[in-house]
This record gives sequence, C-alpha cells and structure tokens, in this order.
Amino acid sequence: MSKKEKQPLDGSFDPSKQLEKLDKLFAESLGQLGSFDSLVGEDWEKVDEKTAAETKSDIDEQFIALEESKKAKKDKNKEKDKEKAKEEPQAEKTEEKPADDDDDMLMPFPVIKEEKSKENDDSVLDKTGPIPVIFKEEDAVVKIPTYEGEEEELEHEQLTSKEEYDRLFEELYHVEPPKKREPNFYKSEFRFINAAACLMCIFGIFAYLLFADRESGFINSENRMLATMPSFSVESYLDGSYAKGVTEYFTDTVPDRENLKRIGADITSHYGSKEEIKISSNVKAVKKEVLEEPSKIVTTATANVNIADVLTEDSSDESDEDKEPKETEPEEKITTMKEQVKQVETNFDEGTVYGSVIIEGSGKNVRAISAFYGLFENSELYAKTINKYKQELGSKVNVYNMPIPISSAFYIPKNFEDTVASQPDNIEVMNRNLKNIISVDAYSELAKHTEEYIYSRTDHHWQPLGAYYAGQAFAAVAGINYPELSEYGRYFKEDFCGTMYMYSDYNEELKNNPDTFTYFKPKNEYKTYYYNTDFTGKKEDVLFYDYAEGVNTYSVFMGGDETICQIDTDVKNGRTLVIFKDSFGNALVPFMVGGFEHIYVVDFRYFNVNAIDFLKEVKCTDLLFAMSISSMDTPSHITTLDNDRIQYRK
Amino acid sequence: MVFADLFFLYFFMPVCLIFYFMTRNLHIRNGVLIVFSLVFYAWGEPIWVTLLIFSSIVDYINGLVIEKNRGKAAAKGAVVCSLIINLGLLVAFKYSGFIVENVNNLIGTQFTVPKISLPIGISFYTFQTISYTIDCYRNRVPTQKNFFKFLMYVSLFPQLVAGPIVRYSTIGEEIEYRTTDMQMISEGVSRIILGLGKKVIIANGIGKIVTTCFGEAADGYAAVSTVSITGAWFGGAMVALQYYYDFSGYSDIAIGLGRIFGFHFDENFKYPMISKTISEFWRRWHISLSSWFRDYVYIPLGGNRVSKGRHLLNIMIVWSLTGLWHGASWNFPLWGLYFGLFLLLEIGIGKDNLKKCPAVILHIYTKLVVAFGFGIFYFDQNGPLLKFFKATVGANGNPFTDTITKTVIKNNIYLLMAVVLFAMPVVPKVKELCMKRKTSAVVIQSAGVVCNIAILLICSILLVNTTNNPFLYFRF
Repeated sequence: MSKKEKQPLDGSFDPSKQLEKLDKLFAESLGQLGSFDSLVGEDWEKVDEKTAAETKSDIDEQFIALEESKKAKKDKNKEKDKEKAKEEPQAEKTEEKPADDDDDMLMPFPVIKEEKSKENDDSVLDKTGPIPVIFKEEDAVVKIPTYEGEEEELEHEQLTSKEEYDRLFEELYHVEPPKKREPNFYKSEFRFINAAACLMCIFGIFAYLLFADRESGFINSENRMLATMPSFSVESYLDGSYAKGVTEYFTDTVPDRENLKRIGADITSHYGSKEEIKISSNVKAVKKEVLEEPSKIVTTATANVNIADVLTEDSSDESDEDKEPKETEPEEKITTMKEQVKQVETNFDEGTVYGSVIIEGSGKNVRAISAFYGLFENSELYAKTINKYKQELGSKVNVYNMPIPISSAFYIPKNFEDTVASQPDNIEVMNRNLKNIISVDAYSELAKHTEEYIYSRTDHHWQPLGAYYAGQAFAAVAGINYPELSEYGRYFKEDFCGTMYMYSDYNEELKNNPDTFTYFKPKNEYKTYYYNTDFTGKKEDVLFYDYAEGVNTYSVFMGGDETICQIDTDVKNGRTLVIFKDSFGNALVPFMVGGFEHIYVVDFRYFNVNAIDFLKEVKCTDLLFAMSISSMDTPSHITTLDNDRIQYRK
Repeated sequence: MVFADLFFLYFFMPVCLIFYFMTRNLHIRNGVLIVFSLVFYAWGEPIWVTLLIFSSIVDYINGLVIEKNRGKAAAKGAVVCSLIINLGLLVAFKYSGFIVENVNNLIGTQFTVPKISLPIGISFYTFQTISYTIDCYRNRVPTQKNFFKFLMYVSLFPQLVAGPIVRYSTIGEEIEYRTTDMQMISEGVSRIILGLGKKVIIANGIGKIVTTCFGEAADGYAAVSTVSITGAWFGGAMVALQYYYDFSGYSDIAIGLGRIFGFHFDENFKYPMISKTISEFWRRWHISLSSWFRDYVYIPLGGNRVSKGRHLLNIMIVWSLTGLWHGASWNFPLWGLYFGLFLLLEIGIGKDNLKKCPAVILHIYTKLVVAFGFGIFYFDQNGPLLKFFKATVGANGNPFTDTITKTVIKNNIYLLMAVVLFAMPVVPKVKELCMKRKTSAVVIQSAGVVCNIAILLICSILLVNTTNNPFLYFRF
C-alpha cells in the first residue's frame, strides 16, 4: 500500500491499522455470510430465528462501522490527494496507477471487491441479507440499504440501539460517532435511474440516427432540396463550409422530419391561448404613411387600341427609327452611358420578402396573410424605373402597369390595419409618378369580388379567379377581346396547401384546411413555346403543367418562373403582348390568349437578355408590367428590373 | 459548433463520452478531451483554432517564466507580455473595425475598415489565459508544467464558446486528478437537459417575441419605429429574459458537461431576476465575468480603498469595460455605463437606506432599470437605439399600446407565465421541500426523471426546425 495510508489522520486514528482490523472483521462477516447463505432456502424461517436475528444485527453493525470508516478514510484520502497534487506532482502518478490497474494486490480495497461479486451474484441474499453494498465504479463507496419496506424497519432498529452503537463506534475507532445520517430516500437509486434513462435516450437516438435511413430529395412543404452530405476537401474545410454542411446535413435529413416539424409546431402553438388571430414569423409594424392629398385617379395615358394605327406604326417601324429617336435618344444616350448594372442580392424568394404572417380564423375560414410593408419612396422609385422603359420604347408601344394587391389588402384583421402600409395608397403614389404609362386598376376590380374565392388561403398567390377579374380591368384599358369566364374550361386541384404553411412555421390549421385551386383553360387555338432565360433553345410544350401538385400547385402555369414563354394564338389582330411579371402574373396569362396574336411572358427576375432589344426583336405592341405589389415595392426587385433594361445592351 | 444543435447532442457528445469513458487512465482521458475540444472549436473556426493554441502557448510559457523568476522583474515582464498579447489579439480581432470606423468618423480620415470575422469565444479564452498568468504571478495557483494539461484548461469545450469564464484556480486540481461517479453523471445529465430546455424551449420562444417587438438586425430593427410605450418596455424586459434564459442555459450545459467529465465549474447565474437592487443583480448575473473584472481590473485599480472620487471613477471604468466586452459597438459600453451609474446611485443611497425601502418598490425599480438596460443592449445601431429611447417615453408619437404587442402577449401567454415562474428559484425550493418526507421525495425524484426525458425529447423535436435557433454570442 502506498505511504499515504500510514499517515495518521488525526491523533487517535491510524488508518492502516484500522484497515487491517476491518479486513479481519470483514473476513469474519464473510464467513458468517457464508453460513447465512446456507440458511437461505425454502425453509430458512424454521431455522433458529434468534441466531439469525443476532447474526443479522451483528452484520448490521459491522457494515455500518465499515461504511463510516471507509467514508472517513475516503474523505481524508481525497484531501490528501489534493494536497499531494499541489505539493508533489510526482506522487500523484503512483496513486493513479492502482486505480487503473486491476491487479488485486494494488487495489486499495481488495476485500470489498470480492464482496461485490458475491453480493451481485447472489440476488437471494440481496433480498434477505441485511445491508446490500452499493458500489460506485472504482471508488467503491459503501452505501446503506435502500430497498423498499425494510428501510424504515432498519432505521428504527438503528435508532433504538443508537447509544450502544455510539459506544461501540467510539471503542472501535476512537473518534466521535457521526451525526445522524440525512435520510436517503432512494437518492442513489434515482440518480442511477435518471442517468441511465437520459443517457439511454441520448445514445439510443444517436445510434438510431447513425443507422436509420435518412431523408433526401425534394421537400415539398419547403419547396427545396434537402441538404446532402458535403464531400471533404481542404478548401471546403478551411472556409468552414464542410463543417457547416455536415451539421446542416445532420439536421436536415433526420428521418421523418416532416412529422417531427409538425409536432414541433404543435408544441409551440401551445405557448399561448388559441386566439382568432395568430402572429407567426416576425410581424413588424411599419409607420403608416399617409397620402398628402386625398386620392384622385389620374389617368396619364390611354392605350393606342387602334389596330390599324399600331400596324401602320409597326410597318413604318424602320422609317420611324430616324424620327423617333430625335425626341428621346439624345438625352438617353448620355444617361445610358453612365448606367451600369447594379449588384443585387439574388434573393427572389417572394415568401421571405413577405416575411410576416398573420393567421386569422379557423376551420375552413382559416387564412394566412402576409403583411405589406411597402414605402412610398419605393413605389415612386418603381414608377420612375418603368418610366424609363416607356421613354426608350417611345409612343408606338403601349405600356401598362398592373400592381397586383396581395391578400392582406382585403383580408387583414381590422385591428391590424393601422400597423401595415396601405396598398391602395402605395398604388396611388405609383400612379402619380407614372409618365405616359397606362395604369391598370386591379385593386378596385378585385375589391368588388372579395366575397369570392379570389385569393388562396394557404398560399401567398391569388387564385386564377382573382386574375380573371384583374385581367378584365386590363382588357378594358387595352381594348382587347376578353371572353366570359364560362367560355373557359374549368379545372380543379384539391388539397392545395401552399407556401404560407411553411412561412407560418407549420400552422396545423392551414395544413388541415387546404385550398382548392381552380384554374381556367382558354378554348381557342394556341401554341406554346419555351426559351431559356437568355432567349435561346426554343422548344414547344404545353401551357398548363397539369401535374403540378402540392405546394407547387401554382406552377401549373408554364411550370414556373425560370423560362421565357411564347404563345402564338389564333387571334389575328397583329398585337403582341409582352408581360413582365413575377409569379403573380402567371395566372393572368391564360386570360390573355383570347386577346393577342402573340404573347411573351418574361419573369423580370430571371431574364438574361437586354429588355429593350428583346422587346424590339419580338415586335412588342403592348408591354404589361404585372406583378405583386410587394415585388414592386422591394428595392432589390426594382433594381433587377432596371438592370434588365441596362444589361447586355448591344 | 454550438450546444443547442442535433449534431452536437446526438453525434459529437455521445462519441466524446464513449471515448472518454472507454478508459480510466486519466492521461488518455485528458488526451480525449483535448482532441475533442480542438475539433469542437475547429468546427466553427477551422483557421482561428490556431489562435487558441497560440494563446495557450504564450501563457503556458508565461507561467513557467513567472515560476522561475519569482519576485524578479522577469515575472512582471511575463504578466505584461500576457496582457499585451492577449488583449492585442482581442483588440485586433474584435475591436479593430470599430476603432478604425470611429477614428475615420472623428478625424475624417479614410482608413479602410478591416473586415475581420470575430473568432467565436475569443473573449472567453483570452480572459481565461490572462487570469491564469496573473494568478500565477500572485502565487494563487501552482504553475502548470505540462503544456497539454494547460491546453486542456484553455480549450475545454464545455466552456469554450459561450463561457463561463473558468478560472484556473477553480479546476486546477481537477485537471491533475478527478473522478466521475454516478452522482456526477446524473447531476451532469440533468443539468445539460435543463440548460437545453432553457435555451430551446424558452429562450428561442422569447426570441420570437423580441423580434416581433423590435425587429432584428437583418431588417434594421424596423419594428422599433412603430413600437408603443408598453411595447418598448415589454420588449426590453423580453430581451433581458431572452438573454437570461439563453445565456444561463448555455452555462448550465457547460456546467453539466463539466460535471460529467469530473470538473466542478462555478455557477454563472444565480436567479438574477429576483434581485432587489442593481448591485445584487450583478452579483447574480454572469458571475464569472463580473468577478473577473472585479479581481483583475477593479481591485488593481484600488477598488473602494481609495479616495471617493477615484472610487467612483474606478466603478465607471470597470463597467464601461464590462459593457465593451460584450461587443464592438457603442451601445455596449453605454449599456455598461448605464448600469455603472445605477451602482453609483445605490452606493450614494447606502446599503442601510436601501434596506429600509419596501421590497416592492425595490423590485419594481430594479426590473424597470434592467428592462431599459437590455433595450440598450439589444440595439447595436444608433438610429434604432434612439427610436427605442423615444418609444419608452412616448416621444415618438406612438400610442400607449398597440395591437401587435397585445396579440403577441396573448399568443405567448403560457410561455410568459413559465418564463416568470422559472426566473424565480421555484424548482429548487419545491425540491428541497419535497425531499424532507419520504413519499414526496419519491414523487419529486420520479417527476424529475420524467421531466428530464420529456424536455430532452421536446428540445430534440424543436431543434429539427432550425429556422428559429439563434446563437447570441457571436459578438462576445
């Protein structure tokens, strides 16, 4: 044994001697245990109960004594260890080894080790024996019993014989007996249960995640691909993308994540009372801007609907070339020289642009709406941006602007009206700043039909029916043929749970009450072609992607945004419509098929040719800007629109 | 890597525990901890992990120099060297952009503002190494002669990225020798789960309320321009509570992990929200930081054993530095000074007079001061900060209440109740009471186990959706 045990702890206590004594005692008790063991059987109660009881109390005492001494010794040792660690780091090494080594000779408590195996092997003894010894790894701490029933009895026993116990204790150890123990109340058992349960949970999930099949591929509710395991390279490690990728992959591909996310949303929905109105995401109030004077509709331009006019203009295109530029081009040239494409953050995700979600109603009436935060200065900037288009195109092209309200314009709860910006007021600001551009009043037209199903409740887009009414307003100012709704084929898509489900942090009510998406197909003849965003790679395809489903149901029109679409119809009026749009504009396209000979649909966000060159090339007679008011009021979108006009200029 | 993340919980931590408990050899265990700690840090800072090692080498050598040259000038030199290098690193990586920007604004120079991304946790480990060197010099701790043990102290991953600032004196002995028993494992695991619950269930929930009230840095704190008077005060209180739950949650996880590995870290938060005075608040809030400043700045400056004027100056210096430690923008030193002023006020009133005040008034006073203070803490841009000031007194013409504040309170009413309840030491009190009798002891201990499992599972589910899980200490 190491020398530490030879040091007396206090004047009267010599641990090494005590240890020997204890060892002896222990050996004796073991002998008794052995005999006791033999008594344990079917008929052990018949055996002399008195002797049994005596043996029992004997062993009790010895175990208690043993425990106390070990405890005392351990505490002292610990202190000493610490002292030694401070004073002589060399000694610490010698002390460590025994603990690590399994050799019995070096073990500090060899006898107990033996005892442990006995106790563990014999479960019957555990029941009947007086005091089970609990072991804590290498520390071998002896603990007093804790199984049910017998503890109280034992406590009682100990209390009655306390004086005798104290006397014995003093005699044996020459130290004061310890104060009465704190009641244990299964503390150590619960510690074990707690640690075991929690660790099993952690390690269980760890193992499960390690071996279970992970999710992968396209995730419908979030409209994106799930992360994949990144491949390791020195560069990807050094710029941190590898570690980030691994972490992302680990969380992103958790098995059954869709359900887990739904459960998570359900948990957080219990953070508060079930109100009629719920704010998901970060709704921010924006100081409401007020128009300086009451709105009055000023139509600054009218469409040139005289087809003959247009045609003559078209035919005299080349001759006009010399005439027209005189008005505009000199000053333009100066400005265009300066103009450069500005860098924009390429975040065209309309959903995050909307950002803030308010949910009202319940059941079939539940509706998620995104608040509108447009600023007048942005509306003004937008108007000035499209004015430049008109300026460059000259009078031979009719330019229309159709701001499409988002659903909050009509469906925001009354008490929230003052916290968001006004859409009609922003449209008004836009109109005041337009020069020679015809404004299409979709807002008023839609406002007449708010009782109808003109906006999806679970998606940030409108319903095609809304687009029909807005198109009516356009047809009126553009002077085109606009067939009645009954003249279209009507198609339905059930169970359409749109983007708002995700932006509302997975609101259950929305999921349970999906939309029905109703769309209309024109009955006249037409052919549809698609180009890449740089206007190359023409190929014929259908206008309606009928298989679109889930969150992407809305891309039933032209399959989405990232193409240029051309439609040639059987309407022979010589007019060519170009629509510059965001995804809202898509729903308008089918209703234009009956009114124009050629239609080109361009998403201004995904457009890689020069807009003016493009418009001239396709011989555009009517240019329509049809996009949601939030796109029109987002500075990065406005810059992109401006860039379209400047970029790739020949 | 951060704690509140599935990858940490269900990959890094289990693997680390397996390797750690595979052996009883303390040297191997130390090795496991060093390797895992460096991997942990390199996960987020693949390059600047070198900085951590550099800082360790510097102060390891400083410790040896001090040991060899006790009482000589060289020992002093080592302390100065440690201060220059560590604070130099801190200034270079954390404050250089801030300093250059302000110099440019002040004198009108056109220096390019360096864009250095702040290595996570640099403020924590530089402070730890500084404290070690100074403690060595003061002969408070034995010099660590083994570099790897010292590296383990600096890099120990439980406290690496978000504190607490663990002093060498706290765990020096346990670096040399430590064991883990069932009690420590059980307590450690419970503590980790408690911290996780505070962070994921509560702090993230409050975080959403805060962004609704005030907006966030990404949108230029847009919402603060329309927030009403009640909204502003409510929002400030929510910021304080968010930081309390988030930060103390992280500290709990750190303490719990440390416990499993056999370390006993000091408590970092002791229910600061029940404080009656601001000085009490700071005795309970981020204790490891305030005691660091007390021991290594305030007392060397002379503490309160100097002339009255100097004493007041000392307090203001310490508190502006404490504020500045939290980040490189003006609102942080302002935040520190703000609290410093209230400390001065309390010193002026005197302890005895404060005790005479009714508790209710003291509580209201402290809570209002804290709510306003954390409003300052939240806005790291001057414009929104000014708007916040105006909003608190209604000077921006906004109404007394607004719909959004009302709705957000209704939407989170049960969460808010829990927030208030658990900000008080209710759980430990109940536990203490129950442990007096056998039946209730069994009930409370069983409930503890069930709650642990439930919290762990709920947190895991909530962590699947990562969109709302901010890491607040990237500025520290």
